[in-house]
Amino acid sequence: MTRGWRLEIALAGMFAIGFAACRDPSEDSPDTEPGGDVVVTYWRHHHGPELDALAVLIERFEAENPGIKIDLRAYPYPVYTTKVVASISAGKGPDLINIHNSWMYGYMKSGLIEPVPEEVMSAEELERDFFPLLGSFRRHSAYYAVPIGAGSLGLLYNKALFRKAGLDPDRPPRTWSELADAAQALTVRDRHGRLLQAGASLGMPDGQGWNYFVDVVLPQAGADLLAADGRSVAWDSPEGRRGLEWYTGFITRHRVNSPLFPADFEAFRLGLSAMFVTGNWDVGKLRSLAPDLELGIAPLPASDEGVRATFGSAWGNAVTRSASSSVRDAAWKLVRFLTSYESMKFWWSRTGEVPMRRQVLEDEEFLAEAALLEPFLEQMPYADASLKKDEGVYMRAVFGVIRDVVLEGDDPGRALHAGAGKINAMLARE
Amino acid sequence: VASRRLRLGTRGWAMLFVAPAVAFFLLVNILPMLYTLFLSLHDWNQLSPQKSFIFLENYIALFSDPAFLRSLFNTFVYALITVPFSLSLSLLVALLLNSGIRAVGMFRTIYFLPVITSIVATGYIWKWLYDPTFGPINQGLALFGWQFPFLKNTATALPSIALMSVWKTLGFNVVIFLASLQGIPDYVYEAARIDGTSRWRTFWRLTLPLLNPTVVFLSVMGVMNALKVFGEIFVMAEDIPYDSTTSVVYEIVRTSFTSNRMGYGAAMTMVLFLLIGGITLFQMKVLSRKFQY
Repeated sequence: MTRGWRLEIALAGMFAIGFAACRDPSEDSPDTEPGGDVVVTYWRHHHGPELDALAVLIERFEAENPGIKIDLRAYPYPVYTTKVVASISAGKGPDLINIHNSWMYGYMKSGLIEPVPEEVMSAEELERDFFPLLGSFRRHSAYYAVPIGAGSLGLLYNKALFRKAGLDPDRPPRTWSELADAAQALTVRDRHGRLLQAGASLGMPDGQGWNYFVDVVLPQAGADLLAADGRSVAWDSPEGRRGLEWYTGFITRHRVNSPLFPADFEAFRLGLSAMFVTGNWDVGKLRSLAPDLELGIAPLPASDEGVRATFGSAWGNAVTRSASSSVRDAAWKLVRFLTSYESMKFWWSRTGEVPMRRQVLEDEEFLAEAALLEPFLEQMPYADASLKKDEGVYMRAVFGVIRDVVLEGDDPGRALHAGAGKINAMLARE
Repeated sequence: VASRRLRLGTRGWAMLFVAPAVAFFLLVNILPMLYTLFLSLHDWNQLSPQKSFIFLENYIALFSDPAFLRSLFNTFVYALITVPFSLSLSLLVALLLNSGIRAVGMFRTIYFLPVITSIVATGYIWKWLYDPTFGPINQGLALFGWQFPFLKNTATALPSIALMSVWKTLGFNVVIFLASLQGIPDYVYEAARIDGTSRWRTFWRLTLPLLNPTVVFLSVMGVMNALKVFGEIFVMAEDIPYDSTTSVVYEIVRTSFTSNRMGYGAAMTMVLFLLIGGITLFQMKVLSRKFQY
């Protein structure tokens, strides 16, 4: 080997070491602090009100549990999952994470997170005390995450526009037929037939539209969502078609909305739409962006046969496989503390999320305080989120189904069949 | 001995200066590329620690995957709209600017501004321009009772995004064309004038052939960029794009990071890499013409 080559190799080595030294030392999270405290690393996505609430709760927890320290870190939502997944697969991830119920399947299946130990909270206890939406955190009869708060979809309506159209602002539509009738009464067009005011921002998949369609409209129309073996969807059926026709009918038949009209939240906020469907998470934002809007909130209308349904959404707390055994116990202790009824009520006061424990429905004091959210709370006993496995693929296919009917004028049965095909390919693979 | 030391010293110094660039290139380009090739031969869901070797199965699955094939088709349509349109329009603008008008510098700057503006900013502005209700274009059309859907229709969305892209890349092409036009010696045109050649004929028989290297360069760059389109789609298409507005890179990002299917996403990346490489070679072979002043 010549001297020249030796130099080249030395240089290459130097750069390799240099790059290796570039890793972020703050990523290393020691299990114990010098003082002997157990440190639980807890990752969440960044959401201001939640972090403020957590800071208070964690302070209380640490005071009650000397010897445990919580290292809370928040990451922007768009990078959160990528960061969690990459770090846990690299074996140096957080001990505790917050995780949405729609992502649970992949996390549970791959063993990225641990089931809730019996001695922390047994399955019987969880099922007795929590709303059934908790089922979206279950796999093979074990639960993998415990939520603090939750949300459900409700019907938001503009009372002033109701009054203007001669409708009773204190009697929102309660059934499918009433919803369609009210929407038609609330629609305003110009002389060219162009929509000036949407009676209801319904019929498109955007926003919560696709969740409303899949987890509310389809079951209300009598369609089953998933085949028993979980390997295909069951809504490629006459009932499914009925649901799709009803939902897209707001645009194609009743013409109370248009794909060219502003999106639901925007249109409602500006007073250009009289009704739309969204979750309690949008209420605070709406009230701050449009303080003068006379907001009415109602449970989602039942089908004409009286079937009630709503879509539920919740963020659970899950312990990851990165947690060592001593940290794991401390982490579950924190989860138990955060998901106590007392913590849930505090959480509600800061974040507007509905408590996940059933006892809230008997708490008169709380119900009086939370009057605005009552329609969402009222629906919690039947709020549900069906299993979608790879939610991204499922969602895209449903967007395709609704768009094919609304934008392309496709036959609803054919569109439904095509969408089911895309989802079934994914379900069979997952 | 002295000369030998000097030779080694020169080589050593050269290596020292080149090393950072080489190390960077190796770590940021070559290694990830090899790793992508490795991943593309494996079934790996990012959530699980298991990577199982499946050889070419990902590649075979790709060619019967309607979502991927559709994105491939869309990407080619996008390239077919943007590249020829952008090249001919920018050549026209460059010829106008080269025809002796005043304040060429100012116009060049104006045309170049969109090139240096972030795609997120321009994307949002065009989204607003295209808005069916609040957008100025449709506000104007509304006077006649018309409404054009632009991004809100499966058929018009991709051409609308491509139009924005033409506007955005125009300045870059204009500047390069202008520089080449100014590099063509005057005596060539003088000879043509003396021969009494028409302006039209001068353009086709003289200017265009002499611009050939520039045309090759710009079309190769244009096609490469068009095949890699992502930002335009990400910003301007609906949050969940129509099947008619996905691009290959969009599909790669979605598969790898939303569905966590890293192996399958890597196979898509390799296919795109080979396609771009192949098309670039083809373009350079077919479009290049030898000429002499």
